[in-house]
Amino acid sequence: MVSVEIVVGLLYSSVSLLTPILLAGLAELLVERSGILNLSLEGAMLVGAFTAFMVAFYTGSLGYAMLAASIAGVALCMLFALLTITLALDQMVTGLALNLLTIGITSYFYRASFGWYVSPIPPHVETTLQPVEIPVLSQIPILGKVLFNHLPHTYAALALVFLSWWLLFRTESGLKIRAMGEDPQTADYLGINVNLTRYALLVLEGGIAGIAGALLSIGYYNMFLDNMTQGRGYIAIALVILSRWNPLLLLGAAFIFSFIDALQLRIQAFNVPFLPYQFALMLPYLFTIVLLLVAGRKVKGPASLGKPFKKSR
Amino acid sequence: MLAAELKKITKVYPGGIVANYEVDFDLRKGEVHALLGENGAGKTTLMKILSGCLKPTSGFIYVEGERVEFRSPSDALRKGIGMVHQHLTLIPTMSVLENLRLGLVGQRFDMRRMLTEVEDLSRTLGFKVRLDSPVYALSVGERQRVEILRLLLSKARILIFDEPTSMLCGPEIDRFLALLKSLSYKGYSIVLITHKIREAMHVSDRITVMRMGRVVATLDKDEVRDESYLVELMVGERLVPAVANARPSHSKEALLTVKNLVVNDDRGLCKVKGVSFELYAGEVLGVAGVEGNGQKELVEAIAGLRRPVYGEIIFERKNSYSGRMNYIPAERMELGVAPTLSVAVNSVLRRFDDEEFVERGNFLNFSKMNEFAKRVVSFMNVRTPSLKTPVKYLSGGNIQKIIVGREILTPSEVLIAEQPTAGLDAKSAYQVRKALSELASKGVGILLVSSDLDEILELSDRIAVISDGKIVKIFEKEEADPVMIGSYMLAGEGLGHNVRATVSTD
Repeated sequence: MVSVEIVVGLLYSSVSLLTPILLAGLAELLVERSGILNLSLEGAMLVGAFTAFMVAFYTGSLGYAMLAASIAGVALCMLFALLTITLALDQMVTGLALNLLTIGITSYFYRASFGWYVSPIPPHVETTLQPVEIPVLSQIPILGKVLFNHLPHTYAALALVFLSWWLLFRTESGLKIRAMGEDPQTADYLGINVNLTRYALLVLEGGIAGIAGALLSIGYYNMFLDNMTQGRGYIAIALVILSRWNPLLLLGAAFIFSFIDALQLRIQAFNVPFLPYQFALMLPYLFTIVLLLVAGRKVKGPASLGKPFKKSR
Repeated sequence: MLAAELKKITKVYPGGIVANYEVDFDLRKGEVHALLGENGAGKTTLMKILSGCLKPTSGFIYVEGERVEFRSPSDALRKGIGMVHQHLTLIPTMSVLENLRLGLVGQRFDMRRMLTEVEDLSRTLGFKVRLDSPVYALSVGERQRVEILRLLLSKARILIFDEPTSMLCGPEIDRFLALLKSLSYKGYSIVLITHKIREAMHVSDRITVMRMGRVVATLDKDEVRDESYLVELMVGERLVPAVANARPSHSKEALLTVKNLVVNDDRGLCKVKGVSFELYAGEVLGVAGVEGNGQKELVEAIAGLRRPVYGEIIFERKNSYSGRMNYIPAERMELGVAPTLSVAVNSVLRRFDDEEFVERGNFLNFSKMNEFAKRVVSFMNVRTPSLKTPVKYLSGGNIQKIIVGREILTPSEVLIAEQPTAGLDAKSAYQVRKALSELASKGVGILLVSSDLDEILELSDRIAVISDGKIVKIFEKEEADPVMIGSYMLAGEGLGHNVRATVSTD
């Protein structure tokens, strides 16, 4: 039946689109639980996308590309950490500034490598990341098609949902992370190394965000475009708030977002009369705002989220 | 045998304030040692040094005879030194169990062993703790006990308490002091930072008095013949103990009328359950009650910080010039001051609608502001390096004095004073009470909410007892009696019937 196939296709691409946002969101969630608001997540994804494309383009190796993407993400987040943790600058301003910087840098080096005019066909990579079919499970009717024929990263992201929930709420490390997000001074009194932990979490976030960005350039597309992340990092941050800093809820929120995203792609493709494609493009973001209005009210995050912490000695 | 010793400790804060100067202090094993002094005498700084929260500028620390250097509070905790700070260091959104566990991070953890230890400790100390309840749902006293439990679990042998009774009331204070005593019998060495002489005399074995960053004297309790001697050591002069409360009888002109007021707290629980009263010009109306019986919500509703569910608050501006209601909040840092702004700005913080300080509605008049700030500072005897100093660098007591001074010197018809002397030393508290009393004799109506019953008895013309969100009785000054007030305070807590019966036969 055609309608079933459409629905399966829609769900399949929802799960597929979900991956980068979920990965980035989970990393940001952990970082925010420790009290750091890292807006440069967006920038880390962008440098990841760019670096992955460049390395894949010149070496042809997707493995090196992913590795380089995560290193680039880590580098950006370490710059953020240096400025906001060690030098205790304002996290919001630093994050935004770094994002603007990355847009400039990636576009600049892209042109430095390929010249100003890249049309009609922009440079692209020959091989992209391929889905992995999970042997038995993918044979399950409908569900198998929706869930078990994806990039390895999708499986990793789903596993990470439960892993990070377990880390936060079932381990001592999670207890420490949550404590410093609420009150870093107290955490420090209790002998928790606040800054070191936050650095470590930002390393993790940088690596994951880099990979999430790489998925865009060498997973779903085969090229790099200016500002290719298009605010997906910010959306991930909004979804973290929406999920009340809970990984399980984040999975739900991210799925709803990507479902709308997949839906709007189809609306565009169907070319509905009187509905310009820009309107469809707007839908996921509009929906995020509506969702925040409905479910995001009176949501209280970690008490010290975004506040610079300086030890008083 | 000494548990710990501090030698020649000097602490200079960045900004040049000398908090401790060449201080010697020692703590014997198993004693309760009171550290007595006014606000800003350097008690807290000294103990923060012993507990590793602050680094001394110079001087030495010895624990059990061994020279140590602490780089962090956890270093000190490893040597068995733990401190219960004035602002408790629990994470409110986490459960009691999680908070206890946080005290043991970095150690090998065994849930079952911890639970048995918690149980043992709770039993021997007579605590009742619900391990799964979130900390925000606990009373201040309960939170304090959780914090003590956490220190004991992490094997602290030296326990330092910073003004532990300032947030407690009546029976809870006695209970706490008894706990200190029993801890010391169990071999814990205890430092009690306090400015309350009676408390120090009640539980301690030795008393060290500090003044202006130095130790004035260390005495065995038995050496102290007379409490006023300690006062003299603390402040360097004798004081009048009580404010002479000889005001002409107040008028019957109601400035503030509260009718059938119902107020919910943040969690939507009904905290004020139909309160009505009138506040007359020139009187002090004291509100007495065990903390958490709706005083906070009542005051917040009157001050306009919280929307009542039902009822009326009528405030008639009789005097067009000063027709305002002033407010001394209990939460000083949150509601009373803007911590990063200067003493001068904070002194006029609530008067930015005043032509005197803001000309043509927009332009600040700094010389007028400084003039007024100077009046506040000299009126309340605020100790500050300058008017430009951000208030966050001042001690808690001095911040409170700025707030009180500001609210008193700013003309008003009604003043709501919520815990106006909490955390103040005897001398400053006396100043505040005296100022409040004088203000009332000028015709201002004062609503005084305090957990210090002595203070309420001393100042009030009428005393309203609040219990379980209701005003259960309003006493005239002449008929007020602490025992009776106390029994009404507990009326809403299950003792009700008996008490009411006894009172009515009276």
